Amino acid sequence: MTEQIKEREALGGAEVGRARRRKEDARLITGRTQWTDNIQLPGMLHVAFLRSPMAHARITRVDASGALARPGVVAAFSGADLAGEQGSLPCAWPVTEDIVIPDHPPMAVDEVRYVGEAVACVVAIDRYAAADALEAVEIDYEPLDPVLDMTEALKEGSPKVHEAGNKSFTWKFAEGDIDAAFRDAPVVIDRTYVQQRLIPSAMEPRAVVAQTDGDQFTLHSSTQIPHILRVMLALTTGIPEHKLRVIAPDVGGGFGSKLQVTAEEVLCLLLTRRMGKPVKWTESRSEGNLTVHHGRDQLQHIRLAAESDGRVRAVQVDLLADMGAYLMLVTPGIPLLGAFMYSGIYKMDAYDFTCTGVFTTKMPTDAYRGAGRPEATYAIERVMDELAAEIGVDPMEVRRRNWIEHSEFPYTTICNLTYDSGNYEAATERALALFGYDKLRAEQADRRERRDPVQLGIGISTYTEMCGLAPSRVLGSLSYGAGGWEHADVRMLPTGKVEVVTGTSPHGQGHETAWSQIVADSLGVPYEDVAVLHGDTATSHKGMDTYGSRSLAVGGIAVVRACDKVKEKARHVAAHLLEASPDDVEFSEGRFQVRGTGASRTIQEIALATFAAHDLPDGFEPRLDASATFDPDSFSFPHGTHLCAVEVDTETGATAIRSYVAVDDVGAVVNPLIVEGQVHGGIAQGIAQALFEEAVYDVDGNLLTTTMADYLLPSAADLPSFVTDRTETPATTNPLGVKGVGEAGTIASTPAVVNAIVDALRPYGVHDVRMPCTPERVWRTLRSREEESA
Amino acid sequence: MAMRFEHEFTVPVPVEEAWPVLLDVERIAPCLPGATLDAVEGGTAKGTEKGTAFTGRMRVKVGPITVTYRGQAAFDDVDEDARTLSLKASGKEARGAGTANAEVTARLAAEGGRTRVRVETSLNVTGRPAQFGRGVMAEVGGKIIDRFAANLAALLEGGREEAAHAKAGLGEAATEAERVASAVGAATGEAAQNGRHAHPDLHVVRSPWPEAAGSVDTLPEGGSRVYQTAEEEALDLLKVAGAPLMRRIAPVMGALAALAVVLYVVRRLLRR
Amino acid sequence: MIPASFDYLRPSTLDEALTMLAEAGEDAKVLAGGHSLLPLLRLRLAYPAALVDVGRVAELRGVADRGDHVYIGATTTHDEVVHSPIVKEHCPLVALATATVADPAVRHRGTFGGSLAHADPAGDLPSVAVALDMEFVVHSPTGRRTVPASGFFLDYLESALEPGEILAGVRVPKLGPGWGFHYEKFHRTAQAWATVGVAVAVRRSNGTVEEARVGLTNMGPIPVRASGVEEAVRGAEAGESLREAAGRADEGTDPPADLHAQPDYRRHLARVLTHRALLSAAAHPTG
Repeated sequence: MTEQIKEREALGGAEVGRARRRKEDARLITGRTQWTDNIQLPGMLHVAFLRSPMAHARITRVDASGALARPGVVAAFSGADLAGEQGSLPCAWPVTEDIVIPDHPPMAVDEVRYVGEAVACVVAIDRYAAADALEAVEIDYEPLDPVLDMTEALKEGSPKVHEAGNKSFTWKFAEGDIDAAFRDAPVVIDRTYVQQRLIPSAMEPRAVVAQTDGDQFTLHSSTQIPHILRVMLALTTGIPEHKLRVIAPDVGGGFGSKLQVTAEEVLCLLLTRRMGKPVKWTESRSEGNLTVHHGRDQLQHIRLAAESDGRVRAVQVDLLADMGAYLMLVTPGIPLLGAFMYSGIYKMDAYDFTCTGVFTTKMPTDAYRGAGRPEATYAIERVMDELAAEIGVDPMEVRRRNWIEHSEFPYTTICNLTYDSGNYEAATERALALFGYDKLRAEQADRRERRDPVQLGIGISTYTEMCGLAPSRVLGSLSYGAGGWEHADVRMLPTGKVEVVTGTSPHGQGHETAWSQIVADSLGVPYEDVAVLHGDTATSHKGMDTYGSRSLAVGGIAVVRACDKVKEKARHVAAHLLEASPDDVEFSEGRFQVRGTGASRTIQEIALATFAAHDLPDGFEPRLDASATFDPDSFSFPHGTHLCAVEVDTETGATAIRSYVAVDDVGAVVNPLIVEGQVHGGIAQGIAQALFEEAVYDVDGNLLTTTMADYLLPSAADLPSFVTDRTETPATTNPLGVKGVGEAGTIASTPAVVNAIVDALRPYGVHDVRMPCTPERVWRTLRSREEESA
Repeated sequence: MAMRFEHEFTVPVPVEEAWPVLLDVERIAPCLPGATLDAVEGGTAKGTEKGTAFTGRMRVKVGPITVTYRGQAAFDDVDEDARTLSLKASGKEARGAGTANAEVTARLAAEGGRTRVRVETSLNVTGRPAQFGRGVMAEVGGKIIDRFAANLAALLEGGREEAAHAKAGLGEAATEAERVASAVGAATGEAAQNGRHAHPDLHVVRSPWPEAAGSVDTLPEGGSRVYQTAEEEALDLLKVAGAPLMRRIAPVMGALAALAVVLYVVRRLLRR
Repeated sequence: MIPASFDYLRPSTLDEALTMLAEAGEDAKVLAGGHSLLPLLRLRLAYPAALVDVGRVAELRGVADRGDHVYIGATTTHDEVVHSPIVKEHCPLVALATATVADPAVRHRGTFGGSLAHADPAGDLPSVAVALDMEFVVHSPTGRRTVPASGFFLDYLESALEPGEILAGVRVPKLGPGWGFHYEKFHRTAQAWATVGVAVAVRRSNGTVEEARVGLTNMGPIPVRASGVEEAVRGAEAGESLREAAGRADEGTDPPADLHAQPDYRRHLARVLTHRALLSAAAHPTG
């Protein structure tokens, strides 16, 4: 048993590991909370943005004066009006020395580069007046050629998105002798996969409220990153950091889309500075589909060299990543987060990765649940199935022949990541049993034999991912603009209650519950006695926020460390009051007790005594609180085995997921119910990429999927009941043994589903169906194979 | 969103008679359902030449959906010898940020004592009406162009000149045009009715589903982009027995044909 | 998006509604459940000057057995239709198709008549209306008229309702015993419109199909009857001949192209789904 597990047990209570219902849910679900759009301030004005209908055009004239004549309108501005102060939206991840980072004005000044880019704004007394007045803003455009296809964009003579050209950067990573590995390789699989463009669809649309008293500024935003946002806004707007308070009130989901410094946030701040009144902006769903940063959109060329028995020699990846029109906060870094995951759970001798970031006249891309890792996992898990088909071996067996065995951990992969722990055998064995793998294979054989119009396919995804985005040194080596530590303050209040201030910024993850469970066990106080504060830079002065499945694996550990410090202080007070040596005072379940005697004090009594400060040890500061900042040495590596059975109706192309088994190993678990929820939501989101979602631009650069009638999100009615289970191989890189679960389901499920569809159709000569695997696409793929063979 | 339409029909009048009608904007404009002509600049009262420009507006109404454009159009080329004329039009939504641009080329050819008319329209629409994948607006563009072509055919045939002309007055109240436009199936009044019944040989070619861009190709590998040949798509209106209206031909997305229509329309009226 | 401003009127009787509608002029729209109209308002694709909300007009709501037909009031919600014993007993096809409309939230708000009056060819009910030869009862300030389903749907989103007219209800003829029904809806997600839908009623006797009615959803700008299929199945054995007959399902259709399907795929679906619908309907005759 590891040190870490001992420490976890040392928490000693019954809370960690308990499937508590989330304490924040009642207010979130009933809406009785302060969503940003609920905020009403005296004299508050409302902003509406006029957005470019053109994918690429020169702005030849802007005349906002008509809007001023409309009822209720207070002001109207064009990009040119704000050019002197609006600055450029930040990109914090310059991945190479020579990366091209174009100027990115929050409102376009001379040229628009995607449909939806803000070109003017109207400020009015209510939202309706503002929206109505947009009609009266006159803008003339001189259309320029759109740039929509990455491959075409890189060709000589392509229209340019920016003066500097359409290439932003090329980033490379290589390990081992790739040429030797491919030379004379008995098997080479060569595939190109399309990671379609996705639109993050958080339940709560983005909203911003900015206010000022002339000196101090406060920005409420539905953001995942109040702390990072404050720094970035200070740098962008020139408002001194200490004069700017950022608040992320309750936030209704993000999936990465609110890990951003948005044009609207900057502009609302500028407008409140100009006008001296509070201003609010809330997006509509269609506005959001156009302008929330998009996800994925990569073209993956992957080659795999293997022995004839299926043992992998090497993987080579050549990636085009669509940046969209500009680089936003971490746009160029997204493919890098996947760069180290193309080897998956497999051993190999060589790896070569090249990624080129390409500008197009579309909405910029950036982090979306999984960010880089789903793409990599998809490619390697798809291609492992292709390898299996090529050599005629069961795809699970091919994986077994290649994966890192449990006895080999810790294991340093070809990508130079050290996987601290894992047990792929255990997770797989459990999944196969729950799934009934052999029986389904038999049914599949039977349906193939009978030429059943409904074929059965089985998809496997034995994934891992790197999460707990943290080690500041590693992030620095990748040129990321910030660190990866996390911070917590824990304070005992006079009445024995506890306040925890976390630097993480929950937007649906249940931190209030999980952190309360951790603190309850650590300090021996009732779960109900713990309050968790977050999201306000005035109360939570330090933090790195929530993304990349980092909150528990980094922020949760900071909470543990801060609790440890509080207990240590309390022990001294207890020893003093009990007239014993601190070394003789033991702490258990909230009570300090002198070893071998019955004398004891509860931690609540210590808290009150500290508050009164009448009788404290000499030199003891009268406070029972502590801070801790945690920066782990490594990422964490959740893994698991997902199995999916899909029925494909070969007459219509319709697919139906018949069963889905997920066995995840996310390390130790603080709250199984929250983990379960994350897994369910994650799987749903991954299935959505496989089957439903796609942002579609037409050849002129119009986004066609601006409503949910066209951008299809699955609901519960479209998904099967998932069978989930866990194995628990604790992480060795943090004291709780936790790994992170926010993205695992999304990373795992997409290849499982597509592998199943392709598996069903292999007898028809199909080796790929592009995502999303819509019925029409499946049907056309089948038809084209029929035509080929005819 | 770009769309292309081709219409072809013959009218039982000689080309010499048909040609001047085509140049008479005041008679042509009302063929366009929902159009209002506000002003003509350049050219002569009845004579149109290169450079002649018009301003106007056009209201497209389909069920509860309404999109109004205002803008301008100008003859780009008028070649009497070749019996060809082309014009370009550009419009903006009156109540939105979207734009619409159209280029229309009409060619007349003598066929005995009749005239074969071929109208090619390319239309580009931006803004909200272009931002839908489900065919809400998709239906609109083709329908308007169809109605226009049918009305034009009727007009050239001469039978309904008067009716059409009655609606054509310059600067006529917008409400009149709108009323006309909104009456389902009545398009420009009787002209539409006649247009659809009088031209058994009006052929239309639907433009293919607009390609999606680059890496987000909507079609899977091997899928054809044009689903039917022009012959297949050509639709003999009279054969659509029982169809209450002329079939809209282009299920292309994007509405706006409306604009296309812009034919004789458009210049930022409200610019003042 | 935020809609442009409009006047909101809420009559409590049909006469009052007609008066208000007439006074509000041509740019007024009737509002019932709002599930088709409000999205257009929010997207600013519709700018009605006034909305006449008929939601409180009691006489427009409810289901009644009228002997040879069932009368369904226009503002009866989908959910009420689905659960109406009268509908279930006498026009099960209506219940089957209505149960597939969107999701429960929509079915509790959206109305039967509103859905028909919207004349969206992708809606589930118009194809059922033409298959069953429903009659539309339309009121205007000057009186009342009935419009057969075959004449009600004029074009994409265009119905025979004139400005000033209100759809009061729909008469659904009872088909009598021996009929089997099925609505086969193909859609990408539960909430999505039908990519293609097929409404089928089949009367069987002694193993052969005596008569069939087939309505197609989203196979053109208006709902259409697959008359080729109806003709071909008459007298057919319920077997392979049904597949053959279903092969004519796309005859005379003009299916749209959109992000979810191209016309050729829709034609293919119409054929496959019609076959399936015929099989299901033929397998379960009522009475």
